[in-house]
Amino acid sequence: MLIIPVLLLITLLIALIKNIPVYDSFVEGAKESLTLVIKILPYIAVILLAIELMQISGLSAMLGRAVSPAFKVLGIPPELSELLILRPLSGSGSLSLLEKIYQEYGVDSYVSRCASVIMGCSDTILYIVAVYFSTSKDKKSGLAIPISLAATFLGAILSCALCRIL
Amino acid sequence: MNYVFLAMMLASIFLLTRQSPEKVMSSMLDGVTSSVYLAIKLFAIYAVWLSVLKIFEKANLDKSLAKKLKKPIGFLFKGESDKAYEYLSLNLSANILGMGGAATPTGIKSIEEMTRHKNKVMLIVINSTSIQLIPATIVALRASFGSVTDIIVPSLIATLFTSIVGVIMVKVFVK
Repeated sequence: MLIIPVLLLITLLIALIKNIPVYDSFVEGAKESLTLVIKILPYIAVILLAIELMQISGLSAMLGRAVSPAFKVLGIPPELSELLILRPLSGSGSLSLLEKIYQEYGVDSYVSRCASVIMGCSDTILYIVAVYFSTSKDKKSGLAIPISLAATFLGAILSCALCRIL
Repeated sequence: MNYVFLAMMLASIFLLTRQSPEKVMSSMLDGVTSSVYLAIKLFAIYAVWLSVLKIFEKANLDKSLAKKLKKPIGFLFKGESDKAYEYLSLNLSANILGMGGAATPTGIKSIEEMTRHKNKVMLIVINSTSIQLIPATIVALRASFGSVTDIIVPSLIATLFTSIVGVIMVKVFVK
């Protein structure tokens, strides 16, 4: 947890040595952050709209149930299928689902350990694609989503296998 | 993206209309409202990291980092400008150190500077497979639940695996 404060201290010391205007740099940074956030806001608004609908309608839970038999064959516990569906879509949604899994099965159980490793080796793909491409000239994401999903899914199978051995 | 989105919307609204149609509008509005909160949080995170980035740039640290990482980055991303390589090296370092907040703004800036589609897909895949040494958020959450078992080793193996598989798939399938 020390890494960020230490990095900030080093940055400030470098600024001191090299005589870089720190206050001006922070104002520039904040200004750039504002334009960036305004640029990406429409994209996250639309994504969160769809994700809220998916969760409230029970679609994500339903998809989870539908795919869980197939997951079971691959060694992924059925309790984790909704997490796997939600993970690429929503960071906060999958994190609160992870907490629920910890509460229900105990944090040191096999299921919870698998869930942790799956969360640790994946990210919110949909958000990354939407935000990263928001300022790009060509908006075609092409194979970015399918490849990320496939890698994440293979990673989940490996995670569950690893948790059994380690 | 358009097809994924259309399928998600169609299926959820259809389901919700059959269960409780009054929730269709309200959950859409809730989603958009939460995006505003998220945007405020992101403004704060990016403001800090973009400021740090500004100092890095003024101190030419980004250039020396790019020089050090020239080999791996040159292998992953072919034929981009020096500016793009600088942002890419910052993005990869932020990812590996688990600083998601710093990864996003540098990632966006990298894509702005990039010209090749294949490289853009590569960047998305690397960020999506979350290459990081320690999954800090998850470890902290587990600690708050009083966990006694370790997940750092399997996470490290799994994240290396997903990133390598992702990189190979981009190299093979994307033109």
